[in-house]
Amino acid sequence: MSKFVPIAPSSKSFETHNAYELGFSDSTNAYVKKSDPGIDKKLVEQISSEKNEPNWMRELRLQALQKFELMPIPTWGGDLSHIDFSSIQYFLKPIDKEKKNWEEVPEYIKQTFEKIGTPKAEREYLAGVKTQYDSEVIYGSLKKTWEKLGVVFLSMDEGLRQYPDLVREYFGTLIPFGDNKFAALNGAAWSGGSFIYVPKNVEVTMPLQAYFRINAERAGQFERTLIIADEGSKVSYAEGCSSPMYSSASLHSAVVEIFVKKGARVQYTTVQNWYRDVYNLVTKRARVEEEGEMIWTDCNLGSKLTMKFPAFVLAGKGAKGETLSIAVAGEGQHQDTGSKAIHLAPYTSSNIVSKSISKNGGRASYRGLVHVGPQAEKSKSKVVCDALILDDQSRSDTYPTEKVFTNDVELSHEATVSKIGEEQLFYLMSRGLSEEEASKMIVRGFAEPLVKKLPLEFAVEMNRLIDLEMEGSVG
Amino acid sequence: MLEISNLSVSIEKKHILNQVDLAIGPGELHVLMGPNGSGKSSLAMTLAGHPAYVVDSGNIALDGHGLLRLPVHERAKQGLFVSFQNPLEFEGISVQNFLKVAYENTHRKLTSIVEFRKSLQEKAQQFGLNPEFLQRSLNNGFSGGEKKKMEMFQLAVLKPKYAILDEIDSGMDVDAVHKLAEHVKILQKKLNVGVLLITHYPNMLKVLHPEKVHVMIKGKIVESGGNEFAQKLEKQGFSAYL
Amino acid sequence: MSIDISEKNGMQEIILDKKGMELEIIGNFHVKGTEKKEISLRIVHKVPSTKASVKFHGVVEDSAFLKITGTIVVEKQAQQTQSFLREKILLLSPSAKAEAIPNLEILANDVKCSHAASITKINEDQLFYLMSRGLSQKQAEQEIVKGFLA
Repeated sequence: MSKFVPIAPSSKSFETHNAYELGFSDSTNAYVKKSDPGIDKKLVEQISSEKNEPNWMRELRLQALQKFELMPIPTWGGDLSHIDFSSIQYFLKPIDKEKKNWEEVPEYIKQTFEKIGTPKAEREYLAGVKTQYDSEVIYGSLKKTWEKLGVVFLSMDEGLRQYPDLVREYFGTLIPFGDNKFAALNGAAWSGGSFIYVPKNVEVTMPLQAYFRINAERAGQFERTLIIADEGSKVSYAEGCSSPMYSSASLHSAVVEIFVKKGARVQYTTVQNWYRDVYNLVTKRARVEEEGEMIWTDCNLGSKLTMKFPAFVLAGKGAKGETLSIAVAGEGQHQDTGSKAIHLAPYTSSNIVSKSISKNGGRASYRGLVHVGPQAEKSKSKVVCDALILDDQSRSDTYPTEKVFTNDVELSHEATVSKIGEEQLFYLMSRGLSEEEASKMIVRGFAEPLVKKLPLEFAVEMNRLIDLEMEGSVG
Repeated sequence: MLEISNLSVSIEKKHILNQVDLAIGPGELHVLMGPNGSGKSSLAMTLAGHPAYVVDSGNIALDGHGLLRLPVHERAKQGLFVSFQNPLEFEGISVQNFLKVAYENTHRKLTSIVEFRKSLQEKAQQFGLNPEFLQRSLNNGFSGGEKKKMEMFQLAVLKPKYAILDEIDSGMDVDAVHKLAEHVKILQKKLNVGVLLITHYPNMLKVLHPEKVHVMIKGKIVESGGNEFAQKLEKQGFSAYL
Repeated sequence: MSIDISEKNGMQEIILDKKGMELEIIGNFHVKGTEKKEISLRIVHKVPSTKASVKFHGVVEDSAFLKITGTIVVEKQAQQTQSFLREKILLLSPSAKAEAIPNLEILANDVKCSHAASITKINEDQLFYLMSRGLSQKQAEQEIVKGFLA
């Protein structure tokens, strides 16, 4: 038990209630108002000291920085050549996030809010005009429920502060800094994200939402999330939202590490709809022990380029992993997404379903890996990728790799690429639907098997968003 | 009145219908018969507005409104229903959601979705369809017979003015044929729908009493007649015309 | 037209550049012992209305290794393309290894394209059935492999 006794929160923490409740900083706190562009040793040390981190975390950050500086930008996947690391601001704290006027918010974002019925109260927040949302009332009662169960749900910064030993045990062990350049960047500059610990055999019935996380930015540039689901526990986590998210940062590089212990079950849902000039590069991985289960539900709608391949390492006998992924690539967008399933133990199974829609010149790519190691006998893997290309300007790619190192397995992979069938359109129109209505219905039907597995609020908004994307795409 | 006048149609430059004349009044039942490939289904698809069928000459009018200039869905709004010989399968579109949109387009916006769904369930039972069909994806995994029932079910829900039933009886057993005949009678007598039933089984004539029967050979109507003609056809088939 | 690339090695590229071209490409690969074979096929549809069907079957015995990469590329102007790729690999022993990489790059939208890959071992029910009719395990396996490659 001693491992988990929280250390009293330090009053010098910049993530206290006060600063956020009122929406402006308390002048007695020494904040750096705005960091200069570019990242270097000095900035990393500054970030660490601002947060009052233990030495070992500062050391980790510096190691990560070294790796980041040495590694080249990957040449596979999307086009990353325009990212200028020296001009990015790496430490945008919530308080110094630029306050925009509602007038400055792009028209298409305003219209989307109107059409998908986002409550007026939320719109300004989502558009980056307001930097805090008053979820205190909702949050207060939820917090009590979690405390009773022994569930820990904090921002990553606070988690490090209160549970340093636990964090140290797991942080960076599943996704080491050398994994890829952006994981290294995150390791050096991370701020915000969620820290979740669920005790043995505890079932958290309501999904934990990033939204309810205390006092954190709605979505930071370099979020770091760590989830530990102890044996037999069940938890579901959701982040993002389908309303278009405006961000002052043009590069988002998050890292998510999840540890699913024996017999535990974790579902992680992300709905991403970043403004169209954002680079969204995410590394997500789960390690699943014996009889554990990991489900990634991923919806990628926005951003200029998203590269995201949720992975699970099936390390224990009977472990199960599932990825349900839907991507919509519109004008000027490239969704390069997929999943990786690594089977290391016997009787493991993986199931990947990926659906993509490309239109108006967008490009959707599926990139996947299924690796079945020599110890993974009697394992099964099934991958299905379906792509819908709506016009002749758009593009779809599928790059799956299947590697099998033992024979007693069943592995299959299927991919289809098609457009909306004319006979299908004709049939629906003959029953009175206009061409646009019929197209919308068919595209919704295409996405349906996936959308129905999302938490309800997301599902409703997803459907409306798909309809919206379809409007004006027909003709 | 659904009036088809002097209709000539070609597909991929091949002439497929030749000066077809046909007029169906409200509440009337007409049967169109002919061997495979005689152009019967082409007539159905042309009426529906399938883009592959090009009307070279002639006209189609529904209650005085010309249909040829109207796109597919507008023809449905005018009150035309064409059943498909091979109804297509759709993934992820539930029967009840689809019917709601189609109904609202062809009739009016619903005041109560709950009422509508209830009426769907009642109708489903009348058609011998398990109400759980309503939540399944449209035609997805349905057997041939179930697909045909679904077409008739849609017709009953969408209540058109004129219905073209294309080979809806093919593959049906005796009981199903009788049930179908009953439904067609209800359409005609109770709902005053003008029906054109396309078939190549003379058997249907045993259980139905059409106002008129037409025989189509190679895209042309070669003979039409009333009751006596129907009885003759029922006994001799239409091999005499080949 | 049918092309058999079973005897080839390394990278092969096939370009469909005449409207209406229809190609069938087959490959049967059987590796044993400590053999290592890598074969890569790239099919490019450059003009409208072409059709390609690729069927690869591989059997891997002992500690051999087989890697099959099949890429279908449909260029932007190649509308009405139909292209299908099937890779099936049978692994006969616990130390057999295989990699299947079926890729699709589609830039036209009025197309029908699909690919499928599977890696499995011999169906034990099939083995049992043949053995119950008097075949030894080795004979039964041989029959199944023959059927697989046919």
